Amino acid sequence: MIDDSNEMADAPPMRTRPHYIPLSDAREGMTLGATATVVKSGILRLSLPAGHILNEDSLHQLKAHQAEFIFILEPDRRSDQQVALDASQAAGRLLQIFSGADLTEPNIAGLFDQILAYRSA
Amino acid sequence: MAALTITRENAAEISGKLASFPHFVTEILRTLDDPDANLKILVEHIQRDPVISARVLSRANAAGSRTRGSAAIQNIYTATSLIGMRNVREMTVISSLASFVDSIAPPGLPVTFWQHNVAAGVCSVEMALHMTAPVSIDAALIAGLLHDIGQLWLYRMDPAGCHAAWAEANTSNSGIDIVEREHFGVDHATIGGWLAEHWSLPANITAAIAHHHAPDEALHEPLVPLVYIAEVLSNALDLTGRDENRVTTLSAPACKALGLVWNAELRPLFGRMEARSRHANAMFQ
Repeated sequence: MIDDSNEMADAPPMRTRPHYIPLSDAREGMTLGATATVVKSGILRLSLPAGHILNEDSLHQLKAHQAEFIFILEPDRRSDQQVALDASQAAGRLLQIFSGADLTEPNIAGLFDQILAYRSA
Repeated sequence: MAALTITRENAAEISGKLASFPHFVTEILRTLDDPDANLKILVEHIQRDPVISARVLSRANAAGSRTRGSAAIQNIYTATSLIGMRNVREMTVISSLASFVDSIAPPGLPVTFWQHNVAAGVCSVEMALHMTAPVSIDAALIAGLLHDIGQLWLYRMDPAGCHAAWAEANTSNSGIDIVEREHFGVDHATIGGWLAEHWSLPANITAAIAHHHAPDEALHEPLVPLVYIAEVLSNALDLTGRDENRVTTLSAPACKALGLVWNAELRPLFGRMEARSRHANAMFQ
């Protein structure tokens, strides 16, 4: 048997990707990236803390309180090369969408920068 | 160039021959300030429509499965109290307008047409929830869902001309409204406004549809910049991934009217728009 314990100990921590998903895509084992709250008529009905790992019970609670989406941290198993490629493709598509825009105009530039940052997260 | 000279009168006349605008939607809008009457209209409509009944009951049963054990919810009033009137109204309005659009959609209309309108409707709702502007969430949803209805009308009249206009807008980086005015003498936003007026939709919804490419002329109506920015964001976020998603201009007065500052605090809003748009489009596929 190969002893890989040293290799495991030296491995960098798993990267995560934060993103919003509809509740219909939520699964047990996913980690909340931000506190999930459900407020109805100004009353806090449900609050699950950031870092909470979804289980059968919390998924039921979210459904029962009609949460529509959650913010999760998804393990990012992509290689550095793939991360760079994905970022490049996202930037390329964004440049295509904004190809007719004047990116020196402050509002357009602000929107472009925020969407690019959102896509790069 | 289209053979037909498009006017307010013939837009309404041709539209009237296609299908009636859903009475349910105008009644829902009319009774927003009367919750009892609004609920009655909503429930009666749902009970007449087996597809939307099934959707509402299915969602209510999913929500109630933990607390009610195996007792299935079969009553629309119970379902509405469980999942909330706003959620049920949103599902029903989207479903009703989807059926209407489907009934008048000409063959060959890209499927992304309605998906984009749903995305803009969802973005408009999220903008209304995010902003402090005094805008009804239901009006925001309906204006977003119908903002491109003039494009559907144009496609019915001249599908080849529409494809040519879309292609030209993509390659020339001109706004689609500018290209349409060159091709047809009028743009889809103006036609949409005429149709909304013909259907007796409220003035704020009519204005939001008519000015969704030129908001600066009607900034006194908060729904106008809101729907305009919602559509810009649905394109910028590439919701539905359609080829026509383009951002060529962004009205500084519209941003100012909504108090929008483009900073990192908006990213959760982008996330909610993306997640809810995907969810809504999946529900009505």
